[in-house]
Amino acid sequence: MHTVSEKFTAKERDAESGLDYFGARYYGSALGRFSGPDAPLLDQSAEDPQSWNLYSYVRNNPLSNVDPTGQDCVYTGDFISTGTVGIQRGNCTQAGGTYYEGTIDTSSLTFNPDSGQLSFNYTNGDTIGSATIGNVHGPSNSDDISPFGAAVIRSLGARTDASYQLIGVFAAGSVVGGAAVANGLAVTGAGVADGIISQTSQYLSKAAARALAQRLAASTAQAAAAASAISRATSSSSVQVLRQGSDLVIKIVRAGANGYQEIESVIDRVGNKEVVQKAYDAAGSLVHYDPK
Amino acid sequence: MRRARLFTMIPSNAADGDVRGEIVRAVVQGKLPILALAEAGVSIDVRENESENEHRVKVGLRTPLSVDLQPVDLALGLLEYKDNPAKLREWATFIMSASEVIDLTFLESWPEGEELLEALWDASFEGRVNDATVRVASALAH
Repeated sequence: MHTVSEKFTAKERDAESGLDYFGARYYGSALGRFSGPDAPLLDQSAEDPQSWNLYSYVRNNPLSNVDPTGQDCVYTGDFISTGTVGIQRGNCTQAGGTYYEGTIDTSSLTFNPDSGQLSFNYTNGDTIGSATIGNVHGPSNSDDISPFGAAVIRSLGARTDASYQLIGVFAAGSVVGGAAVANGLAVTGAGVADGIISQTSQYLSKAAARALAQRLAASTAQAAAAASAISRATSSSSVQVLRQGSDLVIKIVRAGANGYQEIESVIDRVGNKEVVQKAYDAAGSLVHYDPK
Repeated sequence: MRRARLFTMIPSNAADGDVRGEIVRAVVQGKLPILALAEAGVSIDVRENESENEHRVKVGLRTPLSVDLQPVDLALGLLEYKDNPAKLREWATFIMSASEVIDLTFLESWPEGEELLEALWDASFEGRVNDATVRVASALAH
């Protein structure tokens, strides 16, 4: 007979194998380690020898960290002050992190400013799922969020173009399929820095974007390139700052003749960049200007 | 998806920094064509993705170069190209994309700065300059 029961951190125990199922891996309670390793070279450091033990559970300190699936961690603590969300692969090394059941697709992050819901997609083996974090509040300083940016976000409605990662309403399926909902998540203002592989901001004012880009830049050259890119923003523009791996992405949006216009700069660690210009009509559809 | 390369320039063996800077300034003022940037060691590659209606711009530098501009430099360029939408757009797209060479932060300390910045967006995306901006640019240029 095959039976399961709730055990360690409320995960099912497989009676035949004696292992607790964590979604991505099985945890052997008697052994105190996972039966399969974490993916290597994701967050190992010389200062933390336990980080090299790919079979350990929360760095052998289950009192301070809880890893329900052995997968990625989301930090929303900085969202209230800077509008950034942090994603850390395979570990929660900082305060205020919450584990989710798989590898998070950082390009799928969406935020609904009206409902305060942050959602994202993840993969876990052959499973593709979505998760929603509720009660996430953006910066309380209204000067930091451009009114135009907020209007753009709302006008986009259900559009889920990957180039717009913060959209007013995300696709219904991303909520229906949600496996993890953490309403009431504490907003602690916890710092997120080392080990965070992706951070996404809301649309910010020029001044707020400049400060955030300085903070997220991986090098002096990248910071300088970002500052110069942001100098293209007008006072009515909205600016989004994203860190994707070692790249820093600056998106500037401005109201145009019949919609809005966007200049996106992707800046690598040494300051090289590529610029993409796009124009949208009021409904959020790409339009083409041909001034010939 | 079809991509059309609008133009590509390969930088030549450039002169010293001062000369290169003056070449860029002359391009911004509309006194030299965009192609002259090659002499300043600046490459620019502009591609148009027709299916997605987007421009992809890559600016390259043979060696680092930073040019300090004044609002009058931009005003002169706007006036030079205001009646040629295609050239105006090409010129403005270079200025908006070439943050490696041109930092527009200086505009924030000038009263005309915001007007010029808005004009650069209009020129880059729509190939036009409005009458009010032409008046501002004319006042700066004289």
